[in-house]
Amino acid sequence: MKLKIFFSLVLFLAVFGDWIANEKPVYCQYQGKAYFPLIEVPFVKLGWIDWPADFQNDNWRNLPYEKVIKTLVPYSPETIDRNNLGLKSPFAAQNTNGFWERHWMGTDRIGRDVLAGWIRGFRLALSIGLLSISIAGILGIFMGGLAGFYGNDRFYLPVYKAFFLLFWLVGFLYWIYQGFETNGSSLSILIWLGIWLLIGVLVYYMPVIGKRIALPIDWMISLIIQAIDAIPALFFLLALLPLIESPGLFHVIILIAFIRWTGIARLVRAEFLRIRDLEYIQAAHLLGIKNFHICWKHILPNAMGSVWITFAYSFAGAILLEAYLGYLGIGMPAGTISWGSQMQQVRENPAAWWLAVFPGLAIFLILFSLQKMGEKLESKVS
Amino acid sequence: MLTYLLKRISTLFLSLWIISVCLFFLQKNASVDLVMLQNKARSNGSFYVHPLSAEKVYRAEAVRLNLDKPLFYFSLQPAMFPDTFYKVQYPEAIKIQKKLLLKTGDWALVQTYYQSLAAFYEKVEQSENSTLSIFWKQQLQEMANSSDLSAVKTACQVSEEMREPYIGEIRKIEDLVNRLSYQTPSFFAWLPSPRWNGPDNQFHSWFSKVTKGDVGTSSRDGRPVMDKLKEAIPWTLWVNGLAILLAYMIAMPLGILMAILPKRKWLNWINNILLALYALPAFWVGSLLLFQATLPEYGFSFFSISGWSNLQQKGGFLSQPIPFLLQLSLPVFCMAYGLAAYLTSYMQSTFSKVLNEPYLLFAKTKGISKARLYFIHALPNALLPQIVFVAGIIPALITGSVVIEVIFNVPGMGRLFIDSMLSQDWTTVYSFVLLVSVLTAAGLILSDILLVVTDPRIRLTRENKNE
Repeated sequence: MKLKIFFSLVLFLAVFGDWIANEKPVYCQYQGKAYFPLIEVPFVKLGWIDWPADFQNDNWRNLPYEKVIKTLVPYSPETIDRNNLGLKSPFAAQNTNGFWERHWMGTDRIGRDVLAGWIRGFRLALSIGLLSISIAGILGIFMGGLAGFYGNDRFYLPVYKAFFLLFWLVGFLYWIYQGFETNGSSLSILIWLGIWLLIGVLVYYMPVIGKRIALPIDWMISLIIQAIDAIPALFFLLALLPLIESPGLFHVIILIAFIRWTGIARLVRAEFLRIRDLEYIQAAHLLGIKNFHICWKHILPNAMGSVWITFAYSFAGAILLEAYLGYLGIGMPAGTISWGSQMQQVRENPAAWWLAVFPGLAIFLILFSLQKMGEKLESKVS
Repeated sequence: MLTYLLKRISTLFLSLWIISVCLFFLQKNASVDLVMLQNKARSNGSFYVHPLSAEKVYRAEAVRLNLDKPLFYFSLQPAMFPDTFYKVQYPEAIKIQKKLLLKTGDWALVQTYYQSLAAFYEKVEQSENSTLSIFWKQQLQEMANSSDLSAVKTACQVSEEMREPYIGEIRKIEDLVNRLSYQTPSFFAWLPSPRWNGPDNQFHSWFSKVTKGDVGTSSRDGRPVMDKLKEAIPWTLWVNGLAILLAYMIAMPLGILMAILPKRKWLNWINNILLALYALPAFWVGSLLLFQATLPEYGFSFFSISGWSNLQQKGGFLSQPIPFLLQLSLPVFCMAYGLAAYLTSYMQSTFSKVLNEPYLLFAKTKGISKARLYFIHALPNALLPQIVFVAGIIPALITGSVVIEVIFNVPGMGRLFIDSMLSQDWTTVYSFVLLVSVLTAAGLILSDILLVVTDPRIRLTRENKNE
């Protein structure tokens, strides 16, 4: 119950963080006219509402408003407060006008409000964690399910189809690669890709001739999992990042997902291997239910119980990886404000404890509650 | 048993081979311009080469650096690519020629175009009119670095007196540009043409060197990467080894104690504390410790961030054990507490599970002493999964130690990795990844073998399943 409240709070901060910490006021009266700058931004971009020229200068805090209602934290994460440059402690005397504008978590070296950046950190950590784990989950469940359901002995193919499949896959990857090389602008490649897909479909529906062999799907997928697992996560992530010319959030998410799917896949595979031999699945096979339907409706729901647990732990791992990246200053686009990047500043300014304590506390609380949740799920499953 | 081991080890080698193929291509992709770097180093950073005369410089260097070979055992290119495309060495030229080829599909024409540009450049180089030749050199640089043919055309269209001395070459280039811009690759030029390159390729020579322990030289300082690794590995082993040792020394007694003590409310609290310790990010604790506790005002002056080289010079643990251990204490503590917390709860659960086994209940009813019950009968059975567990967490430990090493400035693998990463020394970076993955894979397989050797039940079920 307490966990639910905590996670809702985290989610709230992640979603509405930009409305809580923003230098634009919620409501203001300026030169005799009323504005709602916080909400009006998209409308201004569309040209539906006109703002006075003073609003365009991003000098929101020092405008002579007639009436103003500010947000809870009247700073954006990027706002530079020139009056409080150079690491003002939360307890030190701060050069701000009024109680409301105080920097409750201090400022960093260039005068940015730590609290505002801290709130922004929730969005970053959560979006990286949730998105990468959902992608990893889909990939992991698919690959693990494939390996577990068919094993080494249940995916039967005629010999010629088995060989053709490998040949076809190589060709398929080749066409996709060529498509990327030409930015998808070449008509001939699209036609070739279409022809290739057509050939695949035709061969798939060709009658069974001759001897059938079992394709060792489990072995192949386990090999991939073993290879990826052999490289420690952070090393792997850092080794992949230089391939990308200007790494951004999206790339980091994809890469973390690519590293994290193996754990989920291993678990799903083990569960599928266990469940596929149970009697009710054999009965389903005898009833002539399609393989996909058996996997989706009869095996997966029973396997998911323990998969949710790994989701919780992988989520924690992804958030930690994101923090590492921010802390090391590698991979994220320059100027990204995250907990890790805030903590990194402490390395140059040892005395600025507030830059380490608050972001670290947030990471710790999220990790702790995720572990707690995993433990709870575990006791529920067993 | 033996077949199981053989199978396991052969898949291990296969997966390591796959990893090394992937890392080789990653390294090739992320590679900085080695020739440029070396030439810059030789001429104190002021190395300049015109894109049209670069190819000669690069080819000469490529022979020495073993780059004038195909990449892999086989290649799969569109049919319009020539078999010898890998011989082009100048990175910019590779990019431009590839783009032009994909646009036009006619390799002969692309090459004639490039060669006529080069011929033009040579003529400009030989001529005496200095302002004109400088102008045309600049123009040619633009033309050589652009895959946009219309830009090349506009670069040619300057005033007549500028064009006059080289009118023949310019006419030729304009003609070629015209022909190129009307060309498109034919439908069948896109078909893949597989080619077998044989064992005389870059990957093969790299891999055979790697198996002999020579992973190449650092592209930053020219030192063999293996030497760098040899310096760094002991530190990482010390930190991780001591952390594991410490964690076990704390976790074993504590876990057993928690298992055998009667269940009380406060045990729940201890469990929560253990969970919190496990969730406490080590790099956070590390940075707080480093900056708050190493200041002399707080009375902790045994650790200094620059004390590592001092230790290195004096010969490490054997010559001065106390300062050595003190220096290592903070990173080891940061690595150990989370592990200890996890191991404690793990030990507690396995020990209480073992205590509920029928044979132990029987021993209890037989009336043997508690000490005998716990330490002779229960402990060996509970200890087994713990030992196996260590090998499994090695990857996570190494990941964690990267950040800890960076924080405490430990000259181990993690810090060297980050340093070479930041200085774009990809040879070192990918050699590191390869080495770490070999170590990790070995650890994982060791834990598997240990498990099979020590527990006959697992062996039987595995053999039954024919895995």
